[in-house]
Amino acid sequence: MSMASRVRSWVGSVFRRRKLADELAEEMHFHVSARAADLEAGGMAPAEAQRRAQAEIGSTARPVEQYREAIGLRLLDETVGDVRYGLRGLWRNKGFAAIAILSLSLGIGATTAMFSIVYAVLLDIYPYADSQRTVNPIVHDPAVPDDWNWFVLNRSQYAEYKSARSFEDVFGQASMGVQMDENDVQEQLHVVLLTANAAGFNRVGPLLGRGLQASDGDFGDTPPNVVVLGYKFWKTHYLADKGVIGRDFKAGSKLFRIVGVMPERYTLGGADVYMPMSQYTFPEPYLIAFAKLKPGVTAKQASDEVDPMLHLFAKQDPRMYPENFHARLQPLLDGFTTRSKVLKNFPMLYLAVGSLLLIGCANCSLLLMARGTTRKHEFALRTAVGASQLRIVRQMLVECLTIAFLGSAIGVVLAYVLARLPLQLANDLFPSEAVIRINLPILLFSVGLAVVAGLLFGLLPALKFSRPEISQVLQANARRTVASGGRRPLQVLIGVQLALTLVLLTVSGAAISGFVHLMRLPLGYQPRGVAAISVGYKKDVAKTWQERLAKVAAYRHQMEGVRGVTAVTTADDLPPSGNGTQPFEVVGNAAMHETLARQTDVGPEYFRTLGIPLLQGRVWNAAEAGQGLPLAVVNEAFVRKFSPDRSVLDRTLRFPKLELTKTPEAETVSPAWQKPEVQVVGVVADAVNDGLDKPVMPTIYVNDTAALWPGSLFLIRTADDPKLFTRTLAHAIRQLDAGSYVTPLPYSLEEMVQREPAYRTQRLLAVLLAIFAGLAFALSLVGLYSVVAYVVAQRTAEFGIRLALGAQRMQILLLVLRGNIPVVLGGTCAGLVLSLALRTRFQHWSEGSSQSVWFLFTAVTLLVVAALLATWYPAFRASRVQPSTALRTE
Amino acid sequence: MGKDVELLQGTLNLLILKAISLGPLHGYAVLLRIQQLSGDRMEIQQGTLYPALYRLEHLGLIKGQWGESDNNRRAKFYTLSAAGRRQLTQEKRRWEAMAEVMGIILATEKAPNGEAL
Repeated sequence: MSMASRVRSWVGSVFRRRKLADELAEEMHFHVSARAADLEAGGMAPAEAQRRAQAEIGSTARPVEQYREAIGLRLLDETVGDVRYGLRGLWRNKGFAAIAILSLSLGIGATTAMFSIVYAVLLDIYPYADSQRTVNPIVHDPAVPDDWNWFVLNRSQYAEYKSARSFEDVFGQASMGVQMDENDVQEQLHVVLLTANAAGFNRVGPLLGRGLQASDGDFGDTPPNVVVLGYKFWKTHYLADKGVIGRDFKAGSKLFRIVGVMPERYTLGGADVYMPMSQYTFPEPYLIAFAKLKPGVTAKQASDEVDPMLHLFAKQDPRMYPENFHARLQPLLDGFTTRSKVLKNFPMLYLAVGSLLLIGCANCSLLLMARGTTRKHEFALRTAVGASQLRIVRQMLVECLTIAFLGSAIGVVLAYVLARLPLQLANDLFPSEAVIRINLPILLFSVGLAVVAGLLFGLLPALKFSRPEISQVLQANARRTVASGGRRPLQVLIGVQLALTLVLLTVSGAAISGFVHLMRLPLGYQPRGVAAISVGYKKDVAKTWQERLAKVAAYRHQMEGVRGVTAVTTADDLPPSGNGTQPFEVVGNAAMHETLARQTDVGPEYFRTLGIPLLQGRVWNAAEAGQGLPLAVVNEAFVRKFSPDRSVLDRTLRFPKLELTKTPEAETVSPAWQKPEVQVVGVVADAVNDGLDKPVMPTIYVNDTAALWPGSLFLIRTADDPKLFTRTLAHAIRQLDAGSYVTPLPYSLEEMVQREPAYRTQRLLAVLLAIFAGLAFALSLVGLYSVVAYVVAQRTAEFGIRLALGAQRMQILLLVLRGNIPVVLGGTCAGLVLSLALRTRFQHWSEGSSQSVWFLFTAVTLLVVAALLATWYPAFRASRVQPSTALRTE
Repeated sequence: MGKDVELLQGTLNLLILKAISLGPLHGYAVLLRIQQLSGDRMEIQQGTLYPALYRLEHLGLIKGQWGESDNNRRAKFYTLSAAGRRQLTQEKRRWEAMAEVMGIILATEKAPNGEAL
């Protein structure tokens, strides 16, 4: 039996329908006339013969139908009929269908979109290949548990480290500062040099041109003079010019060719530009070695393997390692601390996502069940005219699937739209160029769940009512008096929905109050109204320390003259984050040998400009700044950590690694600064300086005129929005000094706080969860409302009779409410219990905040009131019905 | 018309294949041929004939072609395909085996001592 002939007839039945019908009819016609002719030959009258022949073949002969059935298309035909019937039914009940489908699609769409966003922003942060297997080179000093000590390796150590069995591959990164000579302006570039295998390790393609490649060489190779720009550098220095490839690039008195630009998410080492390791100009590079673990190897196993090796290295380079340490290689992803905080709470996010999806499914199920219950009569009628139970169940199945698939289809579209919405609405909410892709597994999961839920709850009534006592149901329909029983599943579903909604409301409340807490976090300084402008000039314009001092003073004076400016200071970093650390020792205290503290160079007006209060001693004055005296103030954290018992005032701090004459042509040291030492004259209050979620670092603020660079960073406090001033300020500087290079920083200090990862993550969570909760709230209320309305509508006749018999409208109202109030209260109570049970887990979301209790209370009140309103309105409408109208509704 | 033999379930296909194997026939002629071959002892329900023909054609066992009937009318003539011929042989063999077994079983008579032979 050939497959071909079957396909031919199936195809024919679909595509040559008309021709087929004609042929079948003709064949039938021939048969009838041939038979009639035979009958006539047997002596029958022609008319009678014709009639008889027709009757024999069967008066109901429908050739096409018979044909389709014969070739096995009956199931298909019936299913198509069911779908058509289902669609017609849905079209007749547009409101019901719309809400059911919308509930499903919102559940699916929002869940998929939100999960995809969260995945992209919180889980899949790094664009580098296998970043989940990549580990940072870190050793851990048991005495300082919170400190990460990054270690660096020389070439032979690097080779040995690379050969560790736990590692699949290792690449090295070194960095150096290079003077850039462009547009007559001097700038220190942060160059990151990468070993030749780095491109193969990270596998991130370039945005433009090419990235670094293996042929660009390793240390010791003849270097090709090529440079690849970092995205940020390309944007600020080349204004994102796409024609930059192939241009010359002058740096460190050498000429390079720009061969590529890396994408925004590639920020390895935070470099301005990338060069091959072959460009390394110092005798011996010290490399930060990033390792990729072999699959299945844990960071712990790898750490144990390299630990003895690192202790050997520590003997060779004792200054590079803490005295006591053990290796603790740290997965790249753990380095992002806010993320790990979020991950800790990830089950909550799953809970929120899952709840919304469940609420959507429950909504759809509710409607299907409510509708199914009211279709008892239809089922009975169909059974009476001979439909089998299977046939009825199958038809319901098709209807449910139709709803489920329509809902899923819209849900998929919604997922795509919604996933892009946050990026469009608030681009700065996201870390870097977050690439949001729809997460396929979660999409399939949501659709699957929706379909299963639709089937389960859609079929429940069909199974129950497809074998009803026909006569009873048919009679009951004449006077549909009392509401049908079997509403328990409906009530349970409504209760579950309300409970889940309450949980979502409380979760989002916790996230929101966590965010509010973060917003109100005392920073220790006042970022509002402060802008930052960097001013540079060609180093030859002012060569000596005195000339440079005069320049800084002139710039500051010029900016202070701008109307609306209330304070101007120099600084060398921007809170809430800061520069690196500097080893120091307290002179005369042998126990304090080489300890690390943050060292930052600021002008004396720094503390007034940022509103950091002075606690002890004094800040150096303008006259002392004018002499470039080596004076410093420290913060409270410094006192707490290094000098809790005796006053730090008038003590001398030495920076053993600071070389005062290292780069005389770039940095000029004041005549007053002879030794790498500063004298502490005051103590200021703590100001956040290591990110929002980390404690304040001990800091030494050094008088910045002690050493001057050809250029300064100015912080300007204004009386208004500081960004309105940046143009005026830049203009004022140019008027004073046309040769200067003025770069207003793109963000005000307040915006810098808002761009902090901790801030953005918490805000993102708050926004996402608020959206979740809002959708859940709306969905469950709509579900509740429509179910009550549906059931009430079915009872219109009953209410009419009751009213006609003298019931008061209030009694009708109470009748409906009484049926639903226990459900609303029960659901809310369940939600409350669940929320309280989960509260210990919320606490991470709202550290130090006591608002969640109030929020719980508000959420409960809101939900109960809204739910009662949703029940009350249909009940109210039912109680207003005219008895005569109600009785005619049959 | 005598109707003393009822059509056994599942035998219609075999009968149609056999009837057609003797030469191309249109639907009505298939009916007549089976009747004639059975010596008018079997009658096919006209309503069941066509679905069976459609099905056999769908399976590729017979092939329908439009042609002229004796009285010069357009009619669809069915012929046996190669697959149909194979099917007929097989079915025939199966039927014969079945008939033989049935014959043996039904011919069994009760032995005097009460046990089957």
